[in-house]
Amino acid sequence: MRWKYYIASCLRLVDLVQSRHEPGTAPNFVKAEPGRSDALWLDLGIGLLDFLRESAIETGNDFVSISPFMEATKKSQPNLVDEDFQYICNLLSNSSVFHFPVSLENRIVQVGETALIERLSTSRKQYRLTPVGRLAVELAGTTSEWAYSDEDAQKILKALDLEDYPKALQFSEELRARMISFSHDLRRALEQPGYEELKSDFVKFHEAYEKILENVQKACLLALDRVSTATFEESMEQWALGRDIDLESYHLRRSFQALNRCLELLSRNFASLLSAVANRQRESVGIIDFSKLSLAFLRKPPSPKMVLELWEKLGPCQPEFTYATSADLQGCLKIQLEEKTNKGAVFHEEGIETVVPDALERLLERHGREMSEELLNGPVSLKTALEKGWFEVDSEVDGLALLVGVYTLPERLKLPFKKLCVGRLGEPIAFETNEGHLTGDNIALIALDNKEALGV
Amino acid sequence: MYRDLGQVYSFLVEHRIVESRPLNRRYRSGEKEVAQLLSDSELLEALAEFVAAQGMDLQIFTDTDVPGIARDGMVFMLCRKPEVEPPLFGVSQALGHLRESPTEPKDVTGVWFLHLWALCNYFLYTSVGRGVEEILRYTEASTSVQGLLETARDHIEQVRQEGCPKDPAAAEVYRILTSHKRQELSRRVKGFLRAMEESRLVESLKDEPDVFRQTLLGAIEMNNLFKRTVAHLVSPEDILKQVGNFAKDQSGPKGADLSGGGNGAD
Repeated sequence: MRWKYYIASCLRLVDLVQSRHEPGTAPNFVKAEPGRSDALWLDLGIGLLDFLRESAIETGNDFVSISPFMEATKKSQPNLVDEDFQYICNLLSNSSVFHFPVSLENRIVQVGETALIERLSTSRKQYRLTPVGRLAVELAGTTSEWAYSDEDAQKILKALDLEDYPKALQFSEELRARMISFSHDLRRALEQPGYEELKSDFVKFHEAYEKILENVQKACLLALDRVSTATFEESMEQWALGRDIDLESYHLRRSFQALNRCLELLSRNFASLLSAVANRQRESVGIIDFSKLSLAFLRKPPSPKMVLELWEKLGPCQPEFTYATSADLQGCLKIQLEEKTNKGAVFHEEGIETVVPDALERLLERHGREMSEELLNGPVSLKTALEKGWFEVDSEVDGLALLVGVYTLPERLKLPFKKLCVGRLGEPIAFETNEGHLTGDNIALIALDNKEALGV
Repeated sequence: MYRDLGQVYSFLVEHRIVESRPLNRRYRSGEKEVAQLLSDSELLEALAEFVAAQGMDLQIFTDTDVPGIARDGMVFMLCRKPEVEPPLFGVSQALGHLRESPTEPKDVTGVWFLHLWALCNYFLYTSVGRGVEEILRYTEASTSVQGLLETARDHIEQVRQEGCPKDPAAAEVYRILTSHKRQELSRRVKGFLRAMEESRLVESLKDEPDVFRQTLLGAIEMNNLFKRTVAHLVSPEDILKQVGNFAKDQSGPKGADLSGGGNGAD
């Protein structure tokens, strides 16, 4: 029966061998024997399969973007374009069928699928290996099914004996990938109807499977013990001398530890999986046609309350916290202050004013009366104001600038005159003090409606 | 330990998923540290009890359990429980993404959510022939902005062709779906997917930000909550028997559809 799988995994590769597609052209299959002499498409196809195989080990066979593969390949073959990679992907994912004879007497045939890779339906670049594709890569690596894994585990020990450390690492990685794949298959068998053959095999042979796991684990632990000694590290360092291989004892230890962890988890899961598989009375919802469900929601719409419940259970939601508002916090603060003090707390908006006089007010406080009285007698020039020392306030203010400011804000003097203005007298002034100097026009403050002082 | 518990809890409440080795994205801020803290079995046990009291489940998966987890990686998730309402989670923010204006009534937004949610699940489940219980196939489940938008348009056109129902509640739903303005549908679809992404039920692809894949969290919650939730949502007499086939151990990967037989997917 293995021939069927062998043929299934080969057909697409044969297409690549026979392809006469030209680089840069539309990604359609052009078949002609004997194909390109440089085997370009076969090389790309195998490279892509190897890339997806390595990704499967790292991601548990998740869909991955092929962009890194494309970019790496274009570095060595810059004449290739995106359409060429699309051609390879189209060909390898071609899901044609072939007929394989089962019984010639009764003319019963089975149908085999041939796609080696599959694309995530809504993406352009996300791919992964199909089961047939995984088999193709495994056949190329001549590995066997998981039921014979205890033999493969012994191969790890043999490779260590023969100091074939790259092989030991390869066997370990392949074995781990196979264990993980088996674990996933068992879970899938529980989740969906079908997989009857796997389930019945598991129920029938579970003791043998547990024994296999036990043997693999023993071999793995032996291998781990061997590579964890100082002696082994030294001998491996000796082995690595003169060899162009980037391999250390750490790589082997890490791989065997990962394999051991995988085996521990698998054997822990075995017991629970066994009881679940053995229990054949299982309720299943099956496949729901959600497009028709959406029409059902129109014909018999659920109440808004029920829709909200569905949303809260199954729909998008975010953490939501309640928190006090600022009004709540002010109230709490007032209560706390009142509890601690004898009198109630008082805040600014409740009418208590503590006004601090600004610099100009301090100047007017000191000299404003004099200035007002002088203005009653007539215009007051800046020169006169400076000579009388009306710029002196205190050490914190620039009195000269403030005095000029009075001339720009005469209403601060609180005079009975309404028509105050500033005029310019003839001679300029230059006045010096210890704090600074003032030069410029000699301006005067004039009360226009002080007719008596002006002699009008 | 309480400080560590607080740090882990705070991260999980905000992000819902912790990956010790994220595959399709970078580490979120603080995620690496939280993943290391979660390797402590005592803290893990305390955390599981703590969140259980709040209506949530702490679920843990390794690369051996499901695909889509990095080699030697672990994934920790905070899942909603079916039988309780988690007090921490609400829909206000998601509502904001879906509604057309701040004054839009909640009932109207609810109608849009329900239909877009069903159509999104068409891509995640029906179109790939996947039952809601098939958690492991979450890596195959994806949708795109364009795909969901086109499907939504087709759905509304189908609604229009059915004509306005006589039932007042159904007529109101008909009115809401068929009276949308130009570009409104596109905004709602994008808002819906954005809400799903922020809730970690889907994630966008690194190379193609308009394509969204279901996360493991989304698949787990759908499996845990679907039967108990949707069963109450539809009338048990006629819709439920059409929608869900509560059969025992079916012989093949087939479920009932609303037409009464055959494969579920079109």
